[in-house]
Amino acid sequence: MVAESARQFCHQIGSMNSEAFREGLRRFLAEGGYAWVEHSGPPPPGVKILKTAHPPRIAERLCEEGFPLVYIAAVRRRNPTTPLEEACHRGEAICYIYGDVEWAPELEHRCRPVTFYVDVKEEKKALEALLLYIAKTRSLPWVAFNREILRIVGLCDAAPNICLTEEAVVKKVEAMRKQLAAQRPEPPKSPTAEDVETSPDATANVTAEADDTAETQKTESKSGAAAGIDRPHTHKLHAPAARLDPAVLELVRRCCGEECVTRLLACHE
Amino acid sequence: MSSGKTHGGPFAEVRTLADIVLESGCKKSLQFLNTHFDLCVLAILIKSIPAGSMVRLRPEIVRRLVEEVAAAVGGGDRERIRNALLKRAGEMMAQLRRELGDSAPSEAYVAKLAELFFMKLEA
Repeated sequence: MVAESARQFCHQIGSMNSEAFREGLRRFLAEGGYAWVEHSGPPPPGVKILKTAHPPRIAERLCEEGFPLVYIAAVRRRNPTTPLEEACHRGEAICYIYGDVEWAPELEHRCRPVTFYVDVKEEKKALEALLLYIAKTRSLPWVAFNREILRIVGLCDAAPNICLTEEAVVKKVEAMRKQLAAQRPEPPKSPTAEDVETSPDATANVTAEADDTAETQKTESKSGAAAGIDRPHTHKLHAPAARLDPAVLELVRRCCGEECVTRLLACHE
Repeated sequence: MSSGKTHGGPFAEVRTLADIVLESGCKKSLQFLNTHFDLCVLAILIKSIPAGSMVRLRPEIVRRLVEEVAAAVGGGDRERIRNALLKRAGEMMAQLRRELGDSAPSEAYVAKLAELFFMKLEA
């Protein structure tokens, strides 16, 4: 199972470790006016750019297939005369490290790591450019990145939700629920879902779509849905009105008569 | 609440956050599901990424999660809710495919789902 997963993973992240990717990275660095050194060897110690990279065991197959493991070290030196590739090891720089796979000593004799040491002068600007490049080329959501680094480049201010901690999300969801509960009482668990569009093909749709995604999306959509994701949806799941309070019914019976009660109940249904 | 942290990888945290929304919101209250329907569907889709290194949506997991949500808040109308959730999930995936194109890697789909998830959480 792990081997199969690793085999498929190789094809997915192989692109990061291909010559084409490295060439693209060199081009990006050259166009950005960065000074950099390409050095054979594992990444230096430093601040991880990703919250969680893929575990080392995943890389074993990749390495067997001959791919090098590519890392990027954004180095902000305290002393510009210290060689880029030495500053992090000597503790004379702040180093930000990116790699798809977490480096571990057990990979040392199996893999060929290559590290791009990038000279960073304007920290915020350089990290922002690097994050954008990584997010784009690796198809990563912002939430995958280290909060500290998102904060440095100002993304936590621009989009606070991407920097929320798990605890904060728990509190936020609780608050959303409480706000809804305060607006109207919780309906009973027997919705009529009057305006829910039910389709006998609904199950088939999602299965087909998810299958399609997994299988590199070769076939046409089976759902035929033209609706945009951000449009207001029409899937409101309405609960029926709550049952009438017997005390209210009794009051209506007393004040208005039995017919009133009958008509009220019929109307309420 | 099952933890999304059982596997590493860059998508582990968004999976955990989707799990929080599902367990603390969508499965707790019909009102929540009703008001934040798209957020719940996005959480289901994100949560359906299986543990492990592969980033791909698994229809059987989508179906199971939808069943769980429908069972938790659906009461007597569970089937209708299940169908609505599945239908919306299908629509979202179709829309994403139109936006991203056939050649986009599956990571791009999950990244887009995550982006939409945070937009809806913000709303």
